[in-house]
Amino acid sequence: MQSAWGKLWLVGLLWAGLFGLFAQQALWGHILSALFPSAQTPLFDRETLLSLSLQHLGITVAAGLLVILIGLPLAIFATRPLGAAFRPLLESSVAIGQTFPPVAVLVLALPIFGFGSTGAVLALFLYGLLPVVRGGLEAFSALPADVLEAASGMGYSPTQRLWRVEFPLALPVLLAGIRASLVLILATATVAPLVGGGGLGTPIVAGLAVSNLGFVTEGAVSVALLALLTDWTLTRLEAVLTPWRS
Amino acid sequence: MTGRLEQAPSEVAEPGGQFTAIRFENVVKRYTDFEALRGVNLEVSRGQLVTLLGPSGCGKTTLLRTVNRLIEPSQGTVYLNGQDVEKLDQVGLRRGIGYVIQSIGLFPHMTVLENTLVVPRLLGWDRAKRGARAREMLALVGLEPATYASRYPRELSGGQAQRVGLARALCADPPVLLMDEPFGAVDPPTRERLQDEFLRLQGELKKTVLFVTHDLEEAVKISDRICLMNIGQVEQYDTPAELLGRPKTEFVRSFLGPSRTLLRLSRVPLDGLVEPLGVRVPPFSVAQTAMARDAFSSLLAHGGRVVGVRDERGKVVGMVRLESLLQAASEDE
Amino acid sequence: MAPTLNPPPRQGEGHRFRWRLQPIALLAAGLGLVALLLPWLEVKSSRIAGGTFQGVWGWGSVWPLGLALLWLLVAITKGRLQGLLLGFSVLAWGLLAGQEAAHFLQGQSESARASLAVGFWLSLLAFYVGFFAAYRQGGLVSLVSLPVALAVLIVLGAFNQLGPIMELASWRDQFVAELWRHLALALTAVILSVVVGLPLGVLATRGAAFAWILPVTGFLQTIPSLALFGLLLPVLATLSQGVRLEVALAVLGVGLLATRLLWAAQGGLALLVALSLGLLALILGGVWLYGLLGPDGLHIALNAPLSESGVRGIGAAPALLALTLYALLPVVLNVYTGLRGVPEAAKDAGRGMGMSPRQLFWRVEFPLALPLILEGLRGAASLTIGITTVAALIGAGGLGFFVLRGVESGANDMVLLGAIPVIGLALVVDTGLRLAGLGLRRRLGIV
Repeated sequence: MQSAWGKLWLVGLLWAGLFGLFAQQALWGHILSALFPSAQTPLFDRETLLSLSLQHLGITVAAGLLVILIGLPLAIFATRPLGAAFRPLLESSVAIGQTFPPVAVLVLALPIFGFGSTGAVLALFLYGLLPVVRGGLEAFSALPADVLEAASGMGYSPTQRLWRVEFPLALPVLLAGIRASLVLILATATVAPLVGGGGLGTPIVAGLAVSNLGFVTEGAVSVALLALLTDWTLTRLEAVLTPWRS
Repeated sequence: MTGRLEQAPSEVAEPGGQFTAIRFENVVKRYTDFEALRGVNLEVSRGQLVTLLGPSGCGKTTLLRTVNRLIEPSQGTVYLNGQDVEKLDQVGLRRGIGYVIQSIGLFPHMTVLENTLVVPRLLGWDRAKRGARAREMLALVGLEPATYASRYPRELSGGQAQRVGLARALCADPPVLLMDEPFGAVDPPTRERLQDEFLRLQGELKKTVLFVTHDLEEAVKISDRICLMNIGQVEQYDTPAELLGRPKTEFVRSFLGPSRTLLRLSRVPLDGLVEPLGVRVPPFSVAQTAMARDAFSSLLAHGGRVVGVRDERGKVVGMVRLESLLQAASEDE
Repeated sequence: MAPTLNPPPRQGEGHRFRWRLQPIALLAAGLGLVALLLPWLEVKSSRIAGGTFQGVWGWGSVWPLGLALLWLLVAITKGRLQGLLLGFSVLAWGLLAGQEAAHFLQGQSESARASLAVGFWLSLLAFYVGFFAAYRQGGLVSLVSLPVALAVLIVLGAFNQLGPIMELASWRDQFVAELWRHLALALTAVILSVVVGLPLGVLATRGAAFAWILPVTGFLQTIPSLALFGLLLPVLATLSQGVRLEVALAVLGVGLLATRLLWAAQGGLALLVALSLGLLALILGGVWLYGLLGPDGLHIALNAPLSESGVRGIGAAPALLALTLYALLPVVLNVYTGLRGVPEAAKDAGRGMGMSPRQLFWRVEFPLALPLILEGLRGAASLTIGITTVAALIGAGGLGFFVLRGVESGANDMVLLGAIPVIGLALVVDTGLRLAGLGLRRRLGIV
């Protein structure tokens, strides 16, 4: 366990390094000028890369937090006796919702939530809800029956059993759902500038509109790095939070 | 509740001289399509180890689980220490009863130590006390705490896991233990070792134990009394010797089968059959403390009609003849 | 105790909490009734202007009352009757929306629009929940009223005055072309991803030398689609300007030969060469297949840069490459899992009967893995249909065109003209392939 936590400092270091890299506005300028000598301004100049990446992360974290705060209770509710009636509905809604293309969800939010980052966050939240609810339903219904019986037999109250036994045991699948959700949100947030959301998609969309490959590359490389690091961080976190698995 | 159950048995004056710990009164459990229990009446005395024995589907597990209310009877009452369990708080009731199941159900996300001190923690014991108690329990079941305390269940063998399960059930010192085929999933040598150790523990701790098994030999080996069940009813409730010697119904007879001789011998101490040594010292011997069955097996293995009996220092002090063994086996029939 | 005595019901942990009414139907009715309190339409003087929100009660129609009554009935009925009532509700909903649109557009200019607002959408959600409840109790029959009601509404032209339909009317030709483009792009990418993904998935099961395949395809999917499009742009732009078609073809031919010779001597290097050649082949093959399938025609121009043959920095080429790479993961992963899941006993039996490795693969392993492979195809297809929408951003066209133009000009109805068919396509393809998979499993006797 100690060694697992020890590995998290590497994660922290990489995040610091990534944002340190995003802060090197001049360096990006040089590199992009060298790559695209024909472009007049190869570096997106309306906003700094650092602020774009912070916006992107902000949108992702906001939507992700909403997903966790709403999605987990929903999954827990549907796997309790009280909410069991709603479970099939929830399952089928999640299955159908997941076939909705992410971009379509984002733009469908437009007429309802309007233009701007609030709408983007809410749309991303709705879309990101699906993997978490699905993972939650799976996680809470695939728990080993003998362990649950032992827990009840030893005198855990239903609430205690939920938090001390079921929740920790469901954690691996829950975390995998949360990771899938966050990576999905982060990726879809790239399209958020279309609906006024800001973030690292901004230079890509702008670059495509004015055929500036420098803008496009700046945004694409940054968002790819951010996505990969997020994915890896959450994978590490899963290992650290569930040390009891092999 | 715990306090009352911990009274010494001698203080209680009741017919038979023993306090009744668990009493089933006309317990019926109906499911939509069948009846799992058809009116069971049974009394378990304090400090006794009673096995519920029978073929699968006979209702023994169902009956066991009515005690800690994992199953609620459709009819009838279960009394624990004179109190109707239905009127007790479900959670409190369960915390006062040790519970061991075949698949063990160790919590995979907790270390061995954390698994062991689950119930003390639920009962709100302070940290130091419950830690010390859990270590003591692990040592008691033969797991060195220094080695095993911080392991996770996936790192244990089947036998080790079952020991942790036992330590966990004993940790809060519950007066009553419910054990549902606890040794059913381990290999035969391990099972035998676990049985022996459990008997030794039970000798010290004197818990009231309700023990479900489908293994006749196991039941005979460990029980004070055996309750043989079939299709939701008690067929016979007796001491192992009585059950083996005087099967009351045809079902009991067929369930015991042809292995009865050996089983009966396994209940008979060698002491009463030993005769003084003759002129010749028999070439092979068994320990004085052994059961008649061991002497019988030894005779079968080596051939011959006489087996020596040796004391704890290994000196042969007497002998047992095959005839007396056979006579002991057929006694009361 | 008397045997006739009924034991009092006991509330144990295992008992399900019982509801008197169907909770799901109640939820549906609640949503439907709440929807009646919200605005259904946004009436605007032109397709891009801001408008005023209009509820269903304010203009003196009795229809809302009827719909409210229907929802109350839906709440307390079950099964087929509930399905029938829901069908009437759908009818009332469509007529109500259409009437309201006609009412508010009357006397306004040609350019006035009635866009759909939150109450309209919430009603749709209520119908989904309601039909779900009816289906649970009454089976497929309870769903019959839905298509009937929708058909009646279409025949009556109830939707004709609504914003997105008016958009469709004015963009009809372009819509057909973009729909075709969308389908051709997605289909090409799915075909390519299967052609590439199948062998990759098989290779991934064959030892440590190919252990990189799964992580690499997983890595590709972690990169946001728009970023992948963006990253391919400069690469393809350079390629298309600098390389002539016959050079590319020659490189492919020679490269293939070289790889075969290299394979024995230097496996790793050969693999690297093969991968780059594969990407080149993928680009050319994709563009040509798309040329055959799509509305834009096939161009092959020798003695000219690749851009003359349809391989450009923007447009179909980068879109197809990105879509194909993206769809690889579901295909490869499912082929891998499917082959890994073939029972050892079945393989042993095959070997025991004297099958060669090749026969074993085609007669035992592949058929048994087929349901999962089809599952991978389903994942790839619904994923691709969605992401193709983004391809409009790099000039490849498709239904994303309407989304993009709509967003740029602030015409929400036009956005919907793109988004709704994309969702519909994804749902249809997903359901179709799901059913095909189910049929296959039945035939193989797995279910």
